[in-house]
Amino acid sequence: MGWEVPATFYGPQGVAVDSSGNVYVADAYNNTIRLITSAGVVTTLSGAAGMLGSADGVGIAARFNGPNSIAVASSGNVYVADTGNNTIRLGQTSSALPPSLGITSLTATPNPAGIGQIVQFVAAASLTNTTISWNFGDGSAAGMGATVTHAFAGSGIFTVTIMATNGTQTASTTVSVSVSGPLVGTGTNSSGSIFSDSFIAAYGSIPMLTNAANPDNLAGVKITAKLNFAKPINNDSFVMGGQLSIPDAFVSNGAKLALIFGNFIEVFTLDQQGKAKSGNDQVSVAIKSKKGVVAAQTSKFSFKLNKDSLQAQLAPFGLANQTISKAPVTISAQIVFANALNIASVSEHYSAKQGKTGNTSK
Amino acid sequence: MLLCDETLNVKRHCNSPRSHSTITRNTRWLLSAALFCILHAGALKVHAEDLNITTIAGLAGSAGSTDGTGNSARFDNPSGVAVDGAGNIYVADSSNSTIRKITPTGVVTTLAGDANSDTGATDGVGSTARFNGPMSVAADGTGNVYVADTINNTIRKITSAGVVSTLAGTPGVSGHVDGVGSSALFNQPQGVAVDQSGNVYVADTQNYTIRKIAVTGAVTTIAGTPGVFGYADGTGNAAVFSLTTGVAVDISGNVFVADQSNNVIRMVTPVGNVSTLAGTGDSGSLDGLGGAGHFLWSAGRCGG
Repeated sequence: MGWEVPATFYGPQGVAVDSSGNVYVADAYNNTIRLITSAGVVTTLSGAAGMLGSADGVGIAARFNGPNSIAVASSGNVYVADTGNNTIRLGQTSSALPPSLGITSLTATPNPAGIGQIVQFVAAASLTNTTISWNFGDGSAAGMGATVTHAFAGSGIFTVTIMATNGTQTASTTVSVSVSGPLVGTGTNSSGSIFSDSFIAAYGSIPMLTNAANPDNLAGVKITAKLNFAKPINNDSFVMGGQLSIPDAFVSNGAKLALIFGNFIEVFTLDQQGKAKSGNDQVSVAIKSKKGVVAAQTSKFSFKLNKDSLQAQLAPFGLANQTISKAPVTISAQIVFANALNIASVSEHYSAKQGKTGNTSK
Repeated sequence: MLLCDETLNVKRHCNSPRSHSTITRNTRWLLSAALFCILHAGALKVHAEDLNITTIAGLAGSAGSTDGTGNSARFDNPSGVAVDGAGNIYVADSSNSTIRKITPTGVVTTLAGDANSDTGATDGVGSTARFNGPMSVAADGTGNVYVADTINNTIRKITSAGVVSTLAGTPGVSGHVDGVGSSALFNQPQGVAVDQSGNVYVADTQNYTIRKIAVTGAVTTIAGTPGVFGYADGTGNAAVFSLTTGVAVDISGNVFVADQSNNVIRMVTPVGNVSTLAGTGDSGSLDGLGGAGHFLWSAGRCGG
């Protein structure tokens, strides 16, 4: 055996050198990471000789399994191919630790978000042996884990803080989430079309909000309908129209109008004159009855919206109904206006029996 | 490890007689020990700040080839790792015979090769290329990745566009021949490095040598004696290595070698002078002096 002072290695497999001349060694059989300083001093940076494992940790607390290769970045980060563990490890000096502590990315989706909308937070990277907690910045209870969800109850810009600790060190980083009033997102209608905006996606099952300031401004909307189903072709109609006084609050670029028939929803983006933007006034409609049986069917639905009037009706060929029963059929229609701040809606129901014209109700 | 407050009382663990006088050796020993303590109290303390280790990709104990983020990705015997100036990490995923890339945010993709296909030596783009047990990668400053394609006995190059070519060596033919491109031969090279000028250095493992591939593609032997396994410092082919498994190059052109079976780290200067940077030759895990320690050791290594 040699003198104690000279350093020894055991099957060193990999070597790297930084810009200062420090040499890093993947000391494979020792399961350690060694450093030879430019001054010629050898130390053990991480791992414990003779101790095999996969634990993350600081210095001697970490474990490796036959590390074959090592690389050092200009940032000082050290990367290890931990061959026997089938993993890639990152080594950082404690001075380089904050604020990430291994958190290589932090995402909030969606952001910006609507009130009540579920936002998912994901901290990317493996955080073995690290405890993660979240402060959502709105006074709510903390979240735990690398992936959490949270719905903000009010609008504002919230600073969400992720705290990571491995027992001896604590670090944190933040992400800002902008939360505003009614917003729309993306979704799919009942005929399978993908919309760039969908109230269902934006609100989920949350009940529609009512803009208390203008609750009655949509009262001019009338639904008139005739559904007798006696002769399936050409005789059925469903017309919705009347004077529609669009509240001034919604006459702004980016406001949305949604037409909702049962489980069908179609969303239109309004322009600054309160008109539907071109190209989206033809939609496919699938109507399912509330009672009785009306087979799911589709028909072109024409739609014209001006600032003061709304005309919407099924295309002339109507519904190709084949299987109506004698029970009353009710079709519900709902119109929703929304922009970033306000939302208002009105709904009508039409109920009819086979062979007879029915009535509308609120 | 040596403790500094024991410096003056420390005893050597060997007394094998050598040509040096005891006085000389003791004097050098004490000077060296004192030097170690100075370093230990100064630079060593700074550098000895332990690394905090985290797992950024893969799951311990779970082999596979899945691309994904962080611990959803899988590797199979990743044997080589490199990092480029943008913080992208490259992995020689040996048993998958693929080259993987990890972005700074932890997203793992397969840069070249196909884990679900047979191994091979085909050049091509991305997943159309084939490798055979690649054990080392290196990244230069312009987005190129170099691969020690170990079982193929070749050195491969992957451009930033994913185009894989064979830089040197002939697939399936082992040997030790200097030459240009495919006329050069290697024997299961396990280490690769690239300097700032684009010169590639190869730890030609089973030849026990260090090779250099100039930008022109010309392959030369810069240190070691082909086919001779052993240990000797010296210049060029007067130096002898054991299994050379890892190689790195600094900004001055010095090449560092993991001389695996000798349990030492060697250094090759640009003119081919080979010295032992650290390690005594004995297997062990002692921290202590590297070059200075070796100076002592080489003058009077005990125990044969």
